[in-house]
Amino acid sequence: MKNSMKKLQQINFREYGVVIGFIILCLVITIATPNFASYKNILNLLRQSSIIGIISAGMTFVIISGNFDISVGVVAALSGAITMKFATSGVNIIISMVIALLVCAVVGFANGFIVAKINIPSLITTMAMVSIVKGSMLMLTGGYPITENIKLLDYIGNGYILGIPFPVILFAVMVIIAYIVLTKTRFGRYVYSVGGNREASKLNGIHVDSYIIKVFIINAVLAGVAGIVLIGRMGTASPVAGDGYDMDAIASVVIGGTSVAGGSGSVLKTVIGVLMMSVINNSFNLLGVDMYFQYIFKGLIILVAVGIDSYSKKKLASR
Amino acid sequence: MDYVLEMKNIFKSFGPVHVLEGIDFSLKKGEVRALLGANGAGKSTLIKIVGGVHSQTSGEVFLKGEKVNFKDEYDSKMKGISIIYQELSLIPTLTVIENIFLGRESVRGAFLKKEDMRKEYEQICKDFDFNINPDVITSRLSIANQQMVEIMKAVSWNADIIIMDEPTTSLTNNEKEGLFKIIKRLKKSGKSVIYISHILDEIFLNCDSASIMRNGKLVGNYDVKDLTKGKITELMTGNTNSGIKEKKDQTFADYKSEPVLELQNISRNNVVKNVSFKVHKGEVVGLAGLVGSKRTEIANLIYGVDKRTGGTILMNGKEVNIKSPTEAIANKIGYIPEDRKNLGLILDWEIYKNATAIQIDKFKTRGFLDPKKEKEFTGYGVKKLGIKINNAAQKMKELSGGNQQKVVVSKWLGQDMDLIIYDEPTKGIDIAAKEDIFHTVEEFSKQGIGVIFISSDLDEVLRVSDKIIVIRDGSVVCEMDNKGISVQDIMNKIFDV
Repeated sequence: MKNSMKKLQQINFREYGVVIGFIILCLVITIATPNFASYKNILNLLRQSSIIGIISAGMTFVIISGNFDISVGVVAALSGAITMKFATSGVNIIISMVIALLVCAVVGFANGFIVAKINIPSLITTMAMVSIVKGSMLMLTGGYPITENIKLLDYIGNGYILGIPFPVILFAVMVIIAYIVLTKTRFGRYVYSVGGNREASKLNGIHVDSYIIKVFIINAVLAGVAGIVLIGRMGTASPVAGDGYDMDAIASVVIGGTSVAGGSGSVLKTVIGVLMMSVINNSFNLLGVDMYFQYIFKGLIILVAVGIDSYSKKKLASR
Repeated sequence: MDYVLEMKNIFKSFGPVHVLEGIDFSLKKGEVRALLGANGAGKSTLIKIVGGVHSQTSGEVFLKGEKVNFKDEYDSKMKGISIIYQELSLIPTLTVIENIFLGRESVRGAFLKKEDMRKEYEQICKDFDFNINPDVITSRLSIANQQMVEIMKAVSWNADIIIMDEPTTSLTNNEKEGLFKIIKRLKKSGKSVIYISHILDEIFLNCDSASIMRNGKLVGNYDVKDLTKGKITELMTGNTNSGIKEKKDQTFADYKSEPVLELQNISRNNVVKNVSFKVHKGEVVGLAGLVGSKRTEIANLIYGVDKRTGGTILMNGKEVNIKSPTEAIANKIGYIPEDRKNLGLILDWEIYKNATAIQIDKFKTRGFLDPKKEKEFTGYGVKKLGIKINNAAQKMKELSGGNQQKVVVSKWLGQDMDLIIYDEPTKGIDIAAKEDIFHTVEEFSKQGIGVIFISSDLDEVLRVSDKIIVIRDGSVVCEMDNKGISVQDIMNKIFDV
């Protein structure tokens, strides 16, 4: 009995360490800056989180499958640019968005296909893809931002449902769907399996390649959705819009506690990671911390988060 | 004919290398068939053809009389073939139950029916006497339990043919008994089993018949009743004289001088408990015990892999404090680890790069590595140990297990050592290669190097050791001189009879 209690505590700490850290962080910040806990600030914070949040939900799939995708930033920007480009040249806005998401899916397919079939590490594949997508986008837009006030886009970026910002609702819906897919479906199970051990998955009759491809498609399409929310919010499609989003998304996933080694993790953890990043950014702004320092801090926190995971694995392995 | 599996005139080549040359193999319903042969005889390749991993170069495969051509592993599995692989096919990050049903989940549409699977899991546990918590993450289980999950997965698949490729290498005796019961149950329900093992006693316990392979050819099919251990080794090696010595016949131990190694009550937490023993110059000390008796853990303390929490280690009478393998090597200790594929070798490297890894500084010309010198050294090892290779620049992974292990041993040739530790050096390698490994033990001891020899095969321990130390649960049970004792005597100590 005593033993099992002890075990329970250990598991809980490993599993919920991030949650506990998050709560403590919120408490400390609430005391330090009274503005933090205001309804307005919290809504604002959630809205700020939602774009990175939607990307991170997709990134969770990719990281669980044992891969990375650093092209999500440019893919988000591409999606926004295509939507705006078509919409401003007279195409129906919904059709414009569908076209944008289809193009994202194609980019995702290309990433997945190269990783799975040609066996180039995903970090390198998507790094090259960043350059390809960025170049295509600049050719498409000529390097200029496209600005146009479109009602539906404005609603997607700035609208409310029952007093809750639309992007927040979209984020929540994406997370719930991702959660169900990862935990309740065979597809989700196989994503974990592929990330846990690619070779062994093959022995179990899993078509590993097709799961890797699908995971990259999901990720790119979600990045595309985030890109559309972003232009809705800004009212403009800028070719540099998605800069740094890839790093923020990967950071959110790993801070949440999903292992970079693949095979384990959860989209709910990612949500905590996303919120944690936002809370830190938000409180730095409230406290007036230098912008440049925020970069340094973000880098350090990624190292700490991944470090805890990797080091505990090393300990476990030498047990 | 009522054969469930028939393979006719199977050839398989990898490039210019002919691995299988005209194999005929057939299996009846309800038959337990042993597949025997030295490493490199082609057993694994044959199995991989049945499993859909490789396809044959020529020849035909029939399942229940129907000609088949497996597309991939999945195809073979769907056609009723289940394989327990030597390398675990489990996903370390998934739970036990998730692994058991991997690839054959109960689903409604795209959704998993978790309740159904849980019920089935309980039924499997009941049917086959398993007792493993379904919700544990697999990587947290012991290797033996992971192996049991692997077995459980294969038998619960409801395949017609179950192939077991050395299923007992990491099992303890209790679990082995469990497995043997499972095999009987499978046989009773009309399933066929192909059983591969280097432990011949298991063949006599479990199998009806045996197919013996040598150098890619089938030597013959035999009724197990007509075979003896000696006959099997004879057929496997093609020698009338199997060449296996039963007992150590000479000693190089020097008991007069200071012992090269003396352990005084060394401990690590609750894992290794107050272990003391001495190794003299040229003496071979065998550590006997069951899998999991913590012999490797003792070796790890000597070699500086793990940290001691108590006790002292003396070398040549002087206290040493070794904190890392680098320091151990500097203190003239050598180590041949148990897990050669992960710890002993880099499989993607060329043979010569592996062979020279320990003594790399010796192979330089004007400060730069000199592949010519490296290959020379490799060639010396190849000759000395009878390693079968095409050339020194071949990739390590192309060699058979026995030859890989010899390369691990060759890394230490010519190194200035006082002590060398062998940890399960013969795991999964064939009898002829084993004898070569024993020979290296003898060579080292002849040079005055003390040897610690860890093996779970008691025949081997008796074959090579001057002194046998029985380890149980991290402590020394007793020390025995290898004079007039039998396997039974050691076994009694291990099991505390």
